[in-house]
Amino acid sequence: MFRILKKSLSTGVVTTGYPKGQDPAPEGFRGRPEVDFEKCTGCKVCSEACPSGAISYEDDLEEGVRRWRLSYAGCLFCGACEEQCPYGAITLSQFYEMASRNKEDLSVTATFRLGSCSHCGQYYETEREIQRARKEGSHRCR
Amino acid sequence: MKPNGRFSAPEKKVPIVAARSGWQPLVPLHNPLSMVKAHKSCASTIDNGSQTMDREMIKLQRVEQNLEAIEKSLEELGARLSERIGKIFGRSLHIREVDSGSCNACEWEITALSNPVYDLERFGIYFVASPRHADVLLVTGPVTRNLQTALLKTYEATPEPKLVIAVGACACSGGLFHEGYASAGGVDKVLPVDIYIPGCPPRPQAILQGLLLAMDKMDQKMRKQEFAEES
Amino acid sequence: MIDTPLHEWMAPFKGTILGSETPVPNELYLTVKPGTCAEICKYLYDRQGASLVAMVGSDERPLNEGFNLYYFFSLPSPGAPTPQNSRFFLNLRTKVDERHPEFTSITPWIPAAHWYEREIQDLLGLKPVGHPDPRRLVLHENWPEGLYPLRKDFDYKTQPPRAQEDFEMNPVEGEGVFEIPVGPVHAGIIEPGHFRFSSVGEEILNLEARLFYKHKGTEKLAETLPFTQGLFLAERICGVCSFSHATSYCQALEKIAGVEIPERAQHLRTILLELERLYNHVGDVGNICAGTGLLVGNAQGTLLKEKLMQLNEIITGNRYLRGMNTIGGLRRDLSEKQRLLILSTLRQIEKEFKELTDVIMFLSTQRDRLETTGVLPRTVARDLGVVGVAARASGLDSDLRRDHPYAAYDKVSFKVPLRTEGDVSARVWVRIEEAFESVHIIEQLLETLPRGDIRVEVKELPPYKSVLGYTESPRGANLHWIMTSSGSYLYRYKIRSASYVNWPAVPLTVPGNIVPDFPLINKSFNLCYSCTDL
Repeated sequence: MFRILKKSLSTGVVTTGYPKGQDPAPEGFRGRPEVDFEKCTGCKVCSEACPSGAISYEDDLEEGVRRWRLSYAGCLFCGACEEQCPYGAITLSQFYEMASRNKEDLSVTATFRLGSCSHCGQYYETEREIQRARKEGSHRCR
Repeated sequence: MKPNGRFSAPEKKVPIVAARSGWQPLVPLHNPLSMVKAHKSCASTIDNGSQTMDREMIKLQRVEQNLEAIEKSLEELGARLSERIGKIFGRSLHIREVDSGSCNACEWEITALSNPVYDLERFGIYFVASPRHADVLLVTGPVTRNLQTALLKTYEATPEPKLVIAVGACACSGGLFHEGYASAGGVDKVLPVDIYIPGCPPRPQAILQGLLLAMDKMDQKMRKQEFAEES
Repeated sequence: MIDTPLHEWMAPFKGTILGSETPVPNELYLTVKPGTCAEICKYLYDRQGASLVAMVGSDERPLNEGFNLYYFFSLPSPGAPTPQNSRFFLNLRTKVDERHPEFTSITPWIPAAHWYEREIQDLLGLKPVGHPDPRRLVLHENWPEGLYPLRKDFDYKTQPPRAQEDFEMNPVEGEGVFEIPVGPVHAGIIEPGHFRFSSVGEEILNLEARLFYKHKGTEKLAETLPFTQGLFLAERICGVCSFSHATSYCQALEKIAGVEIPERAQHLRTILLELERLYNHVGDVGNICAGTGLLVGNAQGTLLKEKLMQLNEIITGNRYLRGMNTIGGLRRDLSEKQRLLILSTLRQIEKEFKELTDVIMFLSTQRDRLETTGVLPRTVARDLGVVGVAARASGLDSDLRRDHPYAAYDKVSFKVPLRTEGDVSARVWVRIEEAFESVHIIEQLLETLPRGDIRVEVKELPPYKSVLGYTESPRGANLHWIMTSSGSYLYRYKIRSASYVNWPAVPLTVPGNIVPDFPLINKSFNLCYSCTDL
């Protein structure tokens, strides 16, 4: 019994200070994906890489826009989007305090204008992606 | 949101905590005031100016005024009760955990909350053995077909007021499994959810934040983000 | 390796073999005539010392091959000096006529086949003739008759209406016998399963367990995902065997692609596999103390586990080592700083774990509860094909790391603990000894970690090739059998985890014990329901 007492006393207090103190996640933690819309061209590669469908998009051909959506409710924090994004626009941060009262607060939405073909007029890709391809003279290769 | 399946909720009295939990009863309630108003409008169409009709109309008007006063005081009472419940929940929370098909990572993180490092009990939060003793149902997993009935029965056994917290990507939205032949696609397809805690699995600190949010002891840090290209 | 000509040990059945191939050096695939498989299985089990490790059913009608059954055996290599030194996997493949979807059950002779055959009946509609217990297993009574999810004409997203059937539990009759139903929602934070105790007073006469409440359709879902995304599904079969399952998946696909991953990646994978084993075993010892009511032991054990989980998070970004594996190697490297951190943390954990076990495992109250409780006899363990910690505690010397080496296990030396009592105490001691061995293995690998790349690119896979991927998870051997499809999809993905094999043994260890000992016995096996139910 005294060995147990000695063990307990020597362990001391180990309780974390959270939430009074900060308890940041370590470097390299797979936390909330953050999107840099300066770099993002709306190319939707992330949506094709996402295994759970947390990233989705919809092309509205009447209004000529692509609506992109990331829902943290379905995110697995696997980092497939970060790995596949050709422009480094989506990165996993160290933020983890994501509890929310409703699902809408867990989403990030973006609207991109679609560019149309100069021959047939059909919308085919976002304007940002088209401009980038023209400027760099390359398709989206990694 | 209503529970799906062949399970039906019992007849409810005036839903005092409806606003807090977003619960809508399956069976429409009889609202005495609206019945009286309907009766009045029906009576006024057949009003032929007789004394009997006039007395009837005066009686109906008095009943209507009384009911309006009762309804107003019930609303005030409801608001005060909600605040009181928030204060009670803010003192302690008794949790019944239900695994509806998770991969068990979320379970182990919830279990980790009882270890000496996170020590959940210092907040007055306890895990209870029976849903009859619970304030909160902590649900993990995408709600499998085989467990759906047990989950609904557990929900029904939990007395009001109660909250439902969905922990993990599978519970929040079905995760990888979505809606499939054996998966309902998330807890909100089956029960009304009050708090979502995303993660795969969420860190114990993240689950703790969610529980403290339920007790109104912490603030929500997530807000919807929108971006639109300028035309 | 298989270096003896085939006919020497398959001589009695020479005429039934229609074809053979060896996709990888230690796997032999034989196609045999329909209707002859049951005899061959009996022969291998009785005369050649084979153990049945998996049985898979597959709907290959779109490939004009009908339904196929695959029986996997683990056999000692002919000519090897001792049975453990070299073993190989033998796969017997046989066709089942789709017009007569039945096959002869081998359960009466090889009890280990019982659940596989019931699962094939539920999910593919092939009836095992002669099976002693043909009740539903995977799909409960709410599933309508005539619908078989693993058939290719069934879509994953179909949600048929709920049926209203009954499920019969085996009744136990006698004076004073009463039934205690427990679950599926249990009193603690535990996964769902239903247990029907039949007891007289406190003593349990019989226990029947009913699982598959967590069946989510993992194998069917895998057929709809590209193989790169199937990896994330493999990680989420289970939380605490996450890295083992992901490694089995990657190893199978790497064999199909014919790539050798860099040596540094092999070493790192082995280190992470052992880290997973370590946190599981340390946590289980703490958990057992919760079962006996020794809260000091529980608090100290869970504290040590928490330190290991935090180490996992620093190294990989996830407490369950998720997101590290990829097909072709690893996604993240280990820095020098992290390598030193692992070494220093493990030294501290080893010292504290030794202090803890020295105190708690010799307390008389603890010993009284753990010893002679929940005995699993060796014969029962062998007949049911039990693997892992439970097998090694009952005198069955089996460990995939030594018998079928993979990753970098052939480059390290380690002991495999073996006990013969088969009780709760033996299972806890096997875990304690394995935890110290894990620390020893990780230290050897960190000292000899080679430099180099951690990944090779795998862009596509040849279609309609199949192979086994396997690892020894903290609970025992898990086997993943994958058959690729055209494009970048999978045709069939069979996951046979250690828990799937070990679960049927648990109810057999309970009769004769008292009801409060059941949670202790359950914790001593510590099997995942999710790995079993999929």
